[in-house]
Amino acid sequence: MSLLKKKGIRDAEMPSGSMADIAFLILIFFMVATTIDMDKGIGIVLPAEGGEIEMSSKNITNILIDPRGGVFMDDKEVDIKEIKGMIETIQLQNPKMVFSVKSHPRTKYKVYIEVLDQLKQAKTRVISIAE
Amino acid sequence: MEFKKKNKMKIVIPTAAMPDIIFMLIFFFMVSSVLRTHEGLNIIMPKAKQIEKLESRVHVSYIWVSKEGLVSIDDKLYQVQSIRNVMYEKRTADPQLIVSIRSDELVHMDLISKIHKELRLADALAVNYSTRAI
Repeated sequence: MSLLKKKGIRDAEMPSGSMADIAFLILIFFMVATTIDMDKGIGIVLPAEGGEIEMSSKNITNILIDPRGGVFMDDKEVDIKEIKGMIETIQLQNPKMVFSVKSHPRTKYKVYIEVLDQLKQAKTRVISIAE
Repeated sequence: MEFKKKNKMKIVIPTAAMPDIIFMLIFFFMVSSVLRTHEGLNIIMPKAKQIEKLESRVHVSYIWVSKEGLVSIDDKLYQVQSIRNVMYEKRTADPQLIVSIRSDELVHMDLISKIHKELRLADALAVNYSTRAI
């Protein structure tokens, strides 16, 4: 009768010792791969309503933008990429200088941002948005 | 004289539940993180070099402006003239409000000027023009 003895049940366990490592690996991968996208842009502060200040015209440089994208600094047409350099020299001569950006109603927003970007790159202290 | 050695105690921290804990963490983060779904209007933002990061999103409110002239705030379309009321409410609720203008690069400046005027009337003066990095 000994032949009918049940065979011992075989151990069929999956090794689970490294499971934690695998889970950690996935966790760390996703933590590294996730990027939190931040908002970026050009910051300005608008003047309060009715808070217009009179200024001497000596301390104002007018920057005009026409509808086709041409930029005029004190009535001279300039290339957008040259604005930064020109402003830096003006600021050295007169640190109190205020730059007033005025755009035609048909001007594209893109050109306006390019001009503001140049002003920001030149570390301009005061930018005035004329309307 | 012979000291009988004491039986050494085996100290083992059970690690069998570790994967469960880690998986639970993974699932928690998977469920609680919200992928930003598309909001606002379909626009192409202008590019700029000298850009600054917005500190936090808590105090930021977005105005979307498309090249067709549509203006959207919080997924609702508004007339330009009603921006002042919307923004005034937001501004009273949060004095540190920063208004981020997300405008298409082909928008004409008359619309942007009108928005400036509305924001000034609403006393929401901190403005950020959203741009792409070059």
